[in-house]
Amino acid sequence: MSTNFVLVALTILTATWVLWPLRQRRIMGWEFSSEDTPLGRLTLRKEVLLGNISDLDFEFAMGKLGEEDYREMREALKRQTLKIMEQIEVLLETGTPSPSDTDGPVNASSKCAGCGGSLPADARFCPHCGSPLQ
Amino acid sequence: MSLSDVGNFAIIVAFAFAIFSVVTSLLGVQRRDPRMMAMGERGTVAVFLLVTLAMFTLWAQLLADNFQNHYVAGHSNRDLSLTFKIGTLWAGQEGSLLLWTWVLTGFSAIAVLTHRKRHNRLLPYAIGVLMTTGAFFLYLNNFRTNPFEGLVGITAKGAEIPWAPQDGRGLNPLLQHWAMVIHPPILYIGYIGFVVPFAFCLAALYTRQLGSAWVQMVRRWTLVAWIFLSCGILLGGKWAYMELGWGGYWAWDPVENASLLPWLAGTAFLHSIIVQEKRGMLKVWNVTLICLTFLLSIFGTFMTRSGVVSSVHAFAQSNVGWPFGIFILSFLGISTWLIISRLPDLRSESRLDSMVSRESGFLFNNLLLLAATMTVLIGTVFPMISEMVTGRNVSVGQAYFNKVEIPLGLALLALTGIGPLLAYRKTSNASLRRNFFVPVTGLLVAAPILFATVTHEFWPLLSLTLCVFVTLTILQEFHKGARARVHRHSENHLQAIMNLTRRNNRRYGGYIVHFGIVLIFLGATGQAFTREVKGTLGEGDDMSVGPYRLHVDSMTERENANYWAGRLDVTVYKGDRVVTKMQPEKRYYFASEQPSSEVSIHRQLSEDIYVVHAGYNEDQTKAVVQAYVNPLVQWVWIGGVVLILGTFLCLLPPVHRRRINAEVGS
Repeated sequence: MSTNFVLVALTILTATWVLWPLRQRRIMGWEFSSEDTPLGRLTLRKEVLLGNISDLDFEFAMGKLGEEDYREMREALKRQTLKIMEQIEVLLETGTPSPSDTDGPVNASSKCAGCGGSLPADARFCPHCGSPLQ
Repeated sequence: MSLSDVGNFAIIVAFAFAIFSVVTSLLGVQRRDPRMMAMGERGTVAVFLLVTLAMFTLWAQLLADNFQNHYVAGHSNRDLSLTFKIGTLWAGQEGSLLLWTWVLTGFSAIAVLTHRKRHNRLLPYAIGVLMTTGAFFLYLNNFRTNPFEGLVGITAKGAEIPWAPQDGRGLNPLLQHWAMVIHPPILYIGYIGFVVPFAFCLAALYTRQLGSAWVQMVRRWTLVAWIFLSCGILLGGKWAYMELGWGGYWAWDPVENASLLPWLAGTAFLHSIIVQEKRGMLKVWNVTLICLTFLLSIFGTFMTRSGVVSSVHAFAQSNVGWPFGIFILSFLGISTWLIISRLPDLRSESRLDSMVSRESGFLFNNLLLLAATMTVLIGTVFPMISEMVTGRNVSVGQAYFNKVEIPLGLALLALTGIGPLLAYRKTSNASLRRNFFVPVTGLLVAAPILFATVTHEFWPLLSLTLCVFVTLTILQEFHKGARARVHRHSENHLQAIMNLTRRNNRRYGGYIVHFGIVLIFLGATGQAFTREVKGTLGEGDDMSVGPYRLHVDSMTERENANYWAGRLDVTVYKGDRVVTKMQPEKRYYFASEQPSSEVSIHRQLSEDIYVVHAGYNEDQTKAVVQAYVNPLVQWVWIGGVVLILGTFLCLLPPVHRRRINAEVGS
């Protein structure tokens, strides 16, 4: 009998804990976490490119690459990194990502109603703010 | 109310919460309602806590010898040691599947707690996948393979009452080994660990967030799963070697293959994501590989749990066959549909500049690993297919696997050496000559020496030569890297190697893993030189195997509560020198009424001496003895340890690159 009581109490306790968020008021304007935002993605891309430059320097120092190849590839990587850094600056200043920060082909005529960001063709979610596009 | 009722209560409530979590998470993210998503997260944690309660309930019953529980009665007995009673939880189908659910829900809870703040866009979808899988396994635990069912007796009046036998039927003697106590949980952590990358992959596919973010997120999860799976496979091999008594550790058995399949696909994924992270390429490969890895994990469990390998008829007779079939086909369908519908989002961000580049090396690596996966899969399921088509269960046997997998394995070993010597994007001819000079020279010098001194057989010779080649490649990478640091940072060579390894832990950790693989290949090649003899020996008799002479000093008996053992005291001589004394045993376990051979192994780096007491002659006066000399086996286990250490190194957090950041920024 006492075990029954403990099990019922346990169920009620677990259910209360799981359902507890219902007691909170609905949070309006909820945002995705920083790493899922355009800024998060651009920062990640910048980190990757910086890593690529570092690896390239290292491979050159190890003698794996010829001088000419190395210079050419490093310049290309630097250009890409600078572009990303510029996009980050634009984003920080204006709060809106530049059109090149999308994961897919851009449909120029289509804009997100939530944040105004450009949308890739066939998008079902906005890649900038995550709003579902129905 | 009994402990079984508590266990039953825990798994049924957990089942309800798992479904609740799927619904609230998916509805929450569709409506962008954080309260519902939070309930989905809490529900996931609650499921884990409830399954934990069920696990401890079963353990409590095992430790308390509660033989009214049919699982305890069927797999344990009073005189079993405490360690084995704990391990009995995963000795049978019902317990194993409960362990599966426990590890799965544990991983899900950890994924929720670690990603809820940082990745709240993908997490609700990932919870949907994780808890659907959890609900599936809890369905099996509740309704198909319930470990909490009780035994009942029938009274004279025909009424059912709880009944318990005096003692249980005992644990299978083959499982009474330390490696078997830890092998299943470790292997399961490996199998199930792939569910988290798979869940985030499906989430990324559904939301079209297919950049490098999800790949970076799941890399650590995949590495953790991979490390456990590798460890589990090695422990399984170690157990087979020490316990089964046939002299080897790998026999291409369906259960072994079931663990190798996700390992091969997971290995391809771990390599392939490097290219996506660095170059934005191979995206279709990566989503396909992680889906394949997870589905192969489930398929492996299905194969071993449904009994379908021994006969396709077991599929229908087994109480888990159909549910597994439906589950695998459903997720296969969902994954395929998501990948095909997201193909435009999975386009490469860069193109392959040259066929002689690191990227193409990774691509070939993918192709070879996938070929190995598919050929192992075909060989494993062939008996099922042949039985379905012809009505006869025809096994392909070890010959097929050796014929197909040895060339593929050696091609992969060669690529392990070639890949790191290639640069990203393109490698010029001058660089190729420079990078390959030392390893290729080493290979050309080693081949004739090995041919003259070790073997004339083609495959062992090729394997040993490639081991030399890859080892030289790895040493060259460390040396050149250290030299570059010595020039730049004025460090001594040793310091440079340490700093190099720490600062480039992914690259150099990977090389250490590769060296572990080389050692495993070295050990596996030793199998080609195994020597074996069998004889019937009495006290004072001798037998020779390879360069050793085995002399039986005495035949003794001993007995404890669990088993009776007949022991041989054997002295091993090499010439007139005593090498070691060995004591193989033949045991008979009382509870399970099963015999077992306890192998005696004398371990040396060059070769193991392996002696088995296989039984007695007809008049019980002499022992049947099988003896093996197994060259290089120890290198398989040493290679395994090196591989695990290397993987741990890969798991360390990266070091920040301030210098380049400042340079580009200025």
